[in-house]
Amino acid sequence: MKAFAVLWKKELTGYFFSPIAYVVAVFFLASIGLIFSLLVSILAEGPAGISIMNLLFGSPFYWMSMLVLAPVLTMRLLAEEKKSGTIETLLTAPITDAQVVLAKFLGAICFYAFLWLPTGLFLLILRYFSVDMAPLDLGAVAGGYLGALLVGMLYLSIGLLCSALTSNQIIAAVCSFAVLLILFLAGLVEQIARDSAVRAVSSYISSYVHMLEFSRGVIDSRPIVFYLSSTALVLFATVKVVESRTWK
Amino acid sequence: MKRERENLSADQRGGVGRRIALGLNAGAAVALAAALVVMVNYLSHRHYVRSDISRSQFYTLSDKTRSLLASLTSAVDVVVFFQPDHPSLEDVINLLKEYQHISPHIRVDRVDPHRDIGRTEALVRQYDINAINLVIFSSLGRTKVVNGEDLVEMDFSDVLAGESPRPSSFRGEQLFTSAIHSLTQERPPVVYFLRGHGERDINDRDPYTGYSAIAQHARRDNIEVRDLLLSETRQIPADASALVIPGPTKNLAEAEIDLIRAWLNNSGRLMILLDNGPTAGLRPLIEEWGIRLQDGAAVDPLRSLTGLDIFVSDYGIHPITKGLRDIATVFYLPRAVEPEALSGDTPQPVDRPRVTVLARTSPDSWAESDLEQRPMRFDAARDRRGPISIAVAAERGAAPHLEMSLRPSRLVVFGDTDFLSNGAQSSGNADFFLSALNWLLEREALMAISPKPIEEIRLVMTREQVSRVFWFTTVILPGLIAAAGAGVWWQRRT
Repeated sequence: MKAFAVLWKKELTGYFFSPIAYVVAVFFLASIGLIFSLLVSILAEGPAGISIMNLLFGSPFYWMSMLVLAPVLTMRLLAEEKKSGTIETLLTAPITDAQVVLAKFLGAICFYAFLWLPTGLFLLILRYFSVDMAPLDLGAVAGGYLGALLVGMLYLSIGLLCSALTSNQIIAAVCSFAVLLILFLAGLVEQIARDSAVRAVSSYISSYVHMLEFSRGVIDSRPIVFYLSSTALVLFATVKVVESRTWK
Repeated sequence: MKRERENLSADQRGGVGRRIALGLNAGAAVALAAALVVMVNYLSHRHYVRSDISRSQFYTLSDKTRSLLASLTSAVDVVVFFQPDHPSLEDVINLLKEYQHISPHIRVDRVDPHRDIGRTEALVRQYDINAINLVIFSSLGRTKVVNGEDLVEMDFSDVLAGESPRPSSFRGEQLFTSAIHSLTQERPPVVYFLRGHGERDINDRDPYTGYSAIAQHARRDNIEVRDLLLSETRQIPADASALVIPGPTKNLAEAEIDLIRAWLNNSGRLMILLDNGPTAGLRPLIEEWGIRLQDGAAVDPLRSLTGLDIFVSDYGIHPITKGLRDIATVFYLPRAVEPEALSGDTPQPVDRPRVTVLARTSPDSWAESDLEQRPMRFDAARDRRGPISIAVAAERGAAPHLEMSLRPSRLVVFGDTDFLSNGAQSSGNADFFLSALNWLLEREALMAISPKPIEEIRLVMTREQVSRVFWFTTVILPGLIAAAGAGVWWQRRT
């Protein structure tokens, strides 16, 4: 367990020394900040009956940055270790393969959560300027952040799996971007499909629909189960891929 | 790579076999895990909890809606026929999703009137609709249409101060649940339209004089509309929930009037539409109800486009006119129909009908006795000054102080027939008619579900503050992170 904690800490601090992580953080914050300032300019023009969180998480900017963020944050995790050969050292250390994968995953999740921290300032700005009107709906805010965390878990785990499959970071990033894009678009099929079964499946896996619901403050057990179970499945597959190094 | 190949040749058979076995093993494990995840998700899809932790609980359904949806046994098809940029569309979709979460019998379909041309045409054929932004409910071959404009209640309180009206509350749940209730829980009421005396015809599609459009409006409100030829049936059918006499031009037989009178007095529901001129022998019947028919047509040059029409927006206080407050209706040379003036001396019988004025013309109008006059002028000697009552509702038998509750008899009289014809379907006229019909049918009470207040967010900011927020969130905050990154990079380099 101690070895796991050490590894996790090393993974997390690794982000803070990685230039690409800073590039991602700047890109992410700039796009979220842009959405937010657009929102503020709309609300300053006149009252609007729209939910702030809904607009934030339904915006194409948000989804664009999510689809880029997850592959870039995870691409080097296993691919780099494979390429440089350090994976052999890591896997012969007194720690199981599952612990290695989990430590890397948790490191990525923690860094992802860290990226969201500055957005707390946005809420303070809204609170400061919204006078004589309904204060911020904290239920919707909490739902929005919960949804962002769940979606982030699945997306990062997919990135990790792609990173385990190859020793080339660029291939890992492109693969996970492609998978995430397909997953995301499959969720949008709901809007155009005619067949009710296709629509039901599509809306069940649609991150876009889920985020809109979470950011309205609607907490549903189905998307939560979907994200937790599919993240677990992807991580399990990742462990199996890592184990395949020893099949000799 | 080379060493790998050498290893392979050294122990080729056993090594490859082992790797295939291990690979299959891992593949099977992942496949099993995937099957498990699909199963878990299937179960979770069937059994789930859902709660709304937002403060407004905007889409949380009331217990009434929940129990109605839980009791559904037949499919209810809902077509959301909205323009994509309609302000209520998102609320409609989200609310219907909550309905679907409770009942699998609710099937929702979206049709964009501008994009889905084929399906729009199919809808127009199927439901004979002539407007957009509607939510169409249908079940068991019956239809009920909810108008998008009725979904939001507007607050006009600041209009005088120069502000535009604000949306104040969302009535979606009330209207949708009432629609589903009337489709699935009630037998549609049957309304008969009298024929055989030169009345307007509900099957007449003439673009000006026909009544086919108003009949279609009634059908869309889940009302069954039929013809009635009294000379054939010799009685008013037992399933008649209401009877409409749409402007007879020839006299009804005395026996027919007796039939109608007896039926009306026995908790019947009657609507009479009468133009200026002959009263088709209905005058005594109407007068028994404390309603006076005056000759002469109401005119109001100040509220008219052609001189023959008259825009009315002064409504009496009555359940029928509750929804018409800010909608104008257009009448065409209506005759005066008014409550009889009560003389204070004679004692009034207990069961005297209570007569209420539904609509009246403005004080600038008058009742013109000479319709040939051009241009029409107010002539103090013969004409009567407005306002003139042109529609009344009367009720008898529901005396509030009596212990027993009788089903009251109800009568509505309109002093015009043109206002419902196919040529006059452009304003609130159909709403007025349907509202009156629903009052006769005692359907005026929608499900008592309170509308959800619409919360609005407004930021009080100057232009400069807005631009400062932009710089802070889009440039300074990411810039700080970039600076931190540069600092780390510099430190590691040195």
